[in-house]
Amino acid sequence: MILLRFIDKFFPPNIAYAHCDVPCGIYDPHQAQMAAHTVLRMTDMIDELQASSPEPAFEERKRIISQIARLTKVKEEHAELVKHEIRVIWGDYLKDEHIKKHKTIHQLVFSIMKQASIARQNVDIKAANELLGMVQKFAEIFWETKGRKTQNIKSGYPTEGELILPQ
Amino acid sequence: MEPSYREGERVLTFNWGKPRLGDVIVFKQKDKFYIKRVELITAGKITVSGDNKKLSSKFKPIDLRQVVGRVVLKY
Repeated sequence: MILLRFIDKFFPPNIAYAHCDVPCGIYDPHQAQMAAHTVLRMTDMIDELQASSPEPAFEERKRIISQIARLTKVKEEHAELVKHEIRVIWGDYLKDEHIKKHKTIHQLVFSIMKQASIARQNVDIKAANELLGMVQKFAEIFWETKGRKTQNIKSGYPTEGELILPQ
Repeated sequence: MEPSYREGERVLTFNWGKPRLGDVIVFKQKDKFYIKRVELITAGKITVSGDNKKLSSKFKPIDLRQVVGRVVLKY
């Protein structure tokens, strides 16, 4: 051993990694849930916008248009974030044994992808709520694969919805 | 690869003979070296996995020619 360590001083060994990415094994559907809540919140806020009259003044129109643009931008970004986070867990974390146990997971992920697009394309509170429900279902399954029971916690967000967290 | 191999430990590999099931091998992929255990060998392809199943990342089966050598000594 000492001889090998001595030789290493003159011919340093290469590094061999045990993992292909860092941080390996760190997955959590929490970000996807927060993003789904944000989509719902932005949809709510766009829906609640009102003008003072059917023909508002130009200044008021500018303000409303600006507000809709900002809310829509955030809605778009977070719907995409939902898709990204779910795809990463689905593609990188889930293994064959999880799929065998949770046979609906592929269909659920597919539905989330489609539903997130619907929530992006429309100002539809029902669609945004359905997206959140699907992501919560995904979170339940995710924690089940880790042998953890989940609990529904009030998010405290303006959406007044829940978060699925491990107990 | 914990608990068999921990970060910072050094290994000596030999490249004669073909890897067998259960061997720990070092292989090269995209200019990086990796250490994994041989789980399955089929027609020139080797399926590898880590000993730490909770954290181990999954690799696609590797080609036999990617194998640098079998681990014969840890020091």
